[in-house]
Amino acid sequence: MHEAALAKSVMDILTESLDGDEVSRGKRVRRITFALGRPRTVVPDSFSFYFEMQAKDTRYEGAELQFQESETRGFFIDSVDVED
Amino acid sequence: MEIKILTDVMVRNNAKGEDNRARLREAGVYCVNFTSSPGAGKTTLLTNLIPLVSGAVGVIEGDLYTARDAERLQGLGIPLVQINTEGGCHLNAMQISAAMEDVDLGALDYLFIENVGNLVCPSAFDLGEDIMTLVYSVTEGEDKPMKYSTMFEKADCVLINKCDLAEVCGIDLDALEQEVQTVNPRARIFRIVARDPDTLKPWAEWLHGKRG
Repeated sequence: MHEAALAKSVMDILTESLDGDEVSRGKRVRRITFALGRPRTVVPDSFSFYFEMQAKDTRYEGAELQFQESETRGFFIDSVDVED
Repeated sequence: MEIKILTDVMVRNNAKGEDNRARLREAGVYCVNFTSSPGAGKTTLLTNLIPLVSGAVGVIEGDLYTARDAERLQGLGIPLVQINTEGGCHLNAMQISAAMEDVDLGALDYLFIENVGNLVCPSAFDLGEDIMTLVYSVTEGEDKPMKYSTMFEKADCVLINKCDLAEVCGIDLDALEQEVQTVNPRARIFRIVARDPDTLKPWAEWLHGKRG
């Protein structure tokens, strides 16, 4: 269930980051790459489910979510790919 | 166009947790985050523990719904704030920050947070506490420390509760303690019966020592 709260946090973090730069302000997001360490604190399938639900009708709708293993414990947003 | 973000998803909760910690320390309040599975005995523990604590105690209660736990503690005449998460499986630092506005921290020595009953999610959310105390019931079996290791790894203290039921539940308390210590060698372990205040005195004394 906490994946729902984390999905919202991700959108809040990205909105603040992307809109703080005129190059990426307002741009749609095509892909988000996460780094996920072990032991996992997030279940990717569950996170994706809630993210997709909350992304409807937003700039994040349809964004591909990629999860990469990390040696650093935690759950990080590594990068985003935005429309040109 | 790829843009590097390199941000911890928990950044906002962690920052608020540190802010909470600073506010509590400035006020001289020692904060304990009580976690457990539902029904392990957190509320019963608080009901019988608080009268043993030397100092003024305030409580923040967390549950999905109802104020039942807060109602159970009302007879103690202490400051109480109930948080209903309405589906949320854990408390977060922002909720604690807001709840602290409803408490006179200057009048407290201790703030106890009774987290939502959940042996998984609360481990990921720093609330700003000094210590996290995990209440674990013998009725949960001997094997949960390894199975739910993230919570046990984060615990500063593990209270093994309902020890009076160990024999009928077929629990070897020494083996259970060994399993806890394998997962987290630094955790202090106490055997208690939350319904029996006499069994809580060693932990209350330990808590006083921790606060200093």
